[in-house]
Amino acid sequence: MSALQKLLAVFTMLLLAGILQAASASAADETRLRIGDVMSLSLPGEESLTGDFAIDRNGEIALPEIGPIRIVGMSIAKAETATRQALAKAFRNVERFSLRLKEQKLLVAVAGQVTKPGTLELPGDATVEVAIASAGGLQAGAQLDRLKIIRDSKEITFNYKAYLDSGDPSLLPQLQPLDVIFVPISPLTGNVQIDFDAATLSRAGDGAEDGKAVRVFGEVANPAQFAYKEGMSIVDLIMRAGGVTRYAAVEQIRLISSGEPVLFNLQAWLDTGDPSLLPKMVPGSTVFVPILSDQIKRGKHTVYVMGEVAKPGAYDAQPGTTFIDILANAGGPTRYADGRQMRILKQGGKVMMFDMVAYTEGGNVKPPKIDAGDAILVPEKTDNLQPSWLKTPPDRASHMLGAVYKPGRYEWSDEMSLFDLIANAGGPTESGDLSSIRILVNKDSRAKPVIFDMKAFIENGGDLSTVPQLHAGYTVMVPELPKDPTDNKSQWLAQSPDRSIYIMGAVGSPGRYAFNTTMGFLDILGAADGPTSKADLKRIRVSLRGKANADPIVVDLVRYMETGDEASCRRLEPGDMIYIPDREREWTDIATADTVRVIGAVAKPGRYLFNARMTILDLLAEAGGPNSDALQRRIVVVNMGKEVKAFHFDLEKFVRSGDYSLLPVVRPGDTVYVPDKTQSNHARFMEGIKDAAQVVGLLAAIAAL
Amino acid sequence: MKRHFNIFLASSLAGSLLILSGCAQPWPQRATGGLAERDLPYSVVHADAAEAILNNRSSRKIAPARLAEAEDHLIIAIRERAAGLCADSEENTFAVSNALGPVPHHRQPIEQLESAGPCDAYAGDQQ
Repeated sequence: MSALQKLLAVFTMLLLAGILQAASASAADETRLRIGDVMSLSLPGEESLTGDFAIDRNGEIALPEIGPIRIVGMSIAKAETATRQALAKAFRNVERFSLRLKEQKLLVAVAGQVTKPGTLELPGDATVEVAIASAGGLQAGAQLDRLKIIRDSKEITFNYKAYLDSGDPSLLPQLQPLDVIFVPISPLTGNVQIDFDAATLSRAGDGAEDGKAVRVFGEVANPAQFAYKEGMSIVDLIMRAGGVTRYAAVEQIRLISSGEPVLFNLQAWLDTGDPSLLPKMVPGSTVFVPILSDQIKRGKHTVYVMGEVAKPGAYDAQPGTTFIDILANAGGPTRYADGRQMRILKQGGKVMMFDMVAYTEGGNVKPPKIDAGDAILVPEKTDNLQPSWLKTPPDRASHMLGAVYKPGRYEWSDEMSLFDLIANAGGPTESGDLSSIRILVNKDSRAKPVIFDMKAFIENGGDLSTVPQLHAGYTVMVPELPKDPTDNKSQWLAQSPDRSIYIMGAVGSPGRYAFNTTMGFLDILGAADGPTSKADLKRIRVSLRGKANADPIVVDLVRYMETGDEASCRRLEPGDMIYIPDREREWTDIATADTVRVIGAVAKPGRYLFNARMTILDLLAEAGGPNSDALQRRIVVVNMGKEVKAFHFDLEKFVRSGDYSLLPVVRPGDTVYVPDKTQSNHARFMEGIKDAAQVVGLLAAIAAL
Repeated sequence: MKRHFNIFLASSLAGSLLILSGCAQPWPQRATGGLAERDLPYSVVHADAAEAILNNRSSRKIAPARLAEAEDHLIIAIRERAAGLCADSEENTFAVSNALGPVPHHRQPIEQLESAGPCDAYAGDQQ
């Protein structure tokens, strides 16, 4: 090629480049007007036609006196020409008219799962993201991979999630005026409107396309259907489902991909990190994480360890393996394990017990021999708060009933005592009667009650061998006392008669009281709020109910208080009945032998209680003294003893002389008669005279006749 | 006739006066012994019993209530003896010894302590 040719070639290229640049500039000028664009118009001399005019939804601008002119889709130059021609029909000198594009705007609507659906006026270069943000953003439950734009009755579906994942704006369709952006809701939300949170929705999965979504179920935190992503692994899917649970069999995870089941060992992958262990996931894959117990190990050396150990399971027990070896391999007993009740289920069906606590404490216990096929059961410790009676067999349990804080069935060991059992049951309640604890002793398929006075034992101590020895299967009952001695109608059954005493009559609170042999007369009297002010304390009667043909005895409490002699208060026993009479009781209730009758001319004749140390003066004073008609010189006392004799007492003479030898003997049972003055000798004499005079007079009259 | 009438009249008047004067309805004998325990000395039996009560009160060999009961019986027995209620006195004396137990008798014969009372003859009859 010559130099000239080269020069021509360069010139030609430069020329072509200039032509292309000009064409490009021309194309840039070809801006097509859209609905929503704001046009700035200017016609000198016509103010109404000078200003901003927006292209409406019909693609027109409305000019005064001219009307609408359609300019949408035109270039600016073309729009100017068309407008000028329209103006020329009504105005002159339109050559100076000018039209230019002042601002571009985008009129769109956003609908569906957004916060504020509605029509928006956006900047001309607004994107789908801007439109969604202007509509308040997406709401929870929006199906991000299936957003739609409805344009001229056509739907354009696009994956907004893919844009959010990549940030690639080319994944979003270009908005045009009057577009409608529709955000659909996920089908996982169901057909009923409910409030839910994003975390819940996320756990429920995001797989909406049945054919492409991947499913995971079994021992994962959130079994669900999730959207498939290119390149996702089975580990990604498991993590998306919240990971595996503690019960997952991580070595036996199954993947069904393209109709073929594949086994995935997550444990091995975690141990090695070998990517070749990860099976390939495809859209529509299904992952199942089985539960650990689904694994069954069997072998000719297998020993099974169950219950409260750190790692229960099947273990290989080669010949020579000991019980302790196996227990150690199983991680040892947990803190909830009952080390005293370990059981070994031999292959032949025999059950052996092993007390590990005793073994560790150096007791005379040896670990059992373990053979292949045996099962070791480490039971859970019996918890009082959550009792399960099945955990303790009947031959290792005793029963605690009655007035204790936690009655129930308690595990029993013969090294325990009655006190241990009651303490384990929370001790007796306030109304518990420790003085007569009943123990039902089982012997030869018969039960026999034994009574134990724990109260006396606690207070006085004693030989421990007298405390009843308990064994498994025994029943202990602490009787309950009535809350109130007067409440015997409802609770009288709670207190047996052999633990009760009865007090009636003139006391503050008569009733039925708990009683035992350590108590005395004053205890029960005090418990009954003491005698009333009208109580006849000299003649308290006690009925001995327990003794056949026993007469009631009389207790003189006044004498007790005078002498302090405890012997005068009879020793009471449970079952006795005390009656305290009233001093003002019916006179028929007062024994004749206790009283002296005072009759005749006294202020208050009647029967009066009398004792050995009193005299007739006390008696007369009690009877109000002789009245004014009394013949005080001839008070008669009739002694009603073995010999019945009468004496007279001259009260006047006694008063005058003070000679106490004149006082008569008066004893309970005697009678005192105070005659009136008509009984005196003088009165009788005068009466005789009167009668004799009448007789004489009568005789004299007869003689005169 | 008049003489007979006067005799009849005088005898009727005298008879009526005698009947109505109270002689036909005499009062029982005078009482005594109502506080005889104040009169010393006692009879031998009662003196020994009283001494036994005093001794037991100081030695506290017998329950106080029983002692008081014995004392009551003794008081009644002394009173009854003084009143001539001999059988009753004997019974209460027995009750005293029953409460106290055997009472030692070391007193002198009764004649040397007191004059013979109404019950001495009774005691002799019982023996």
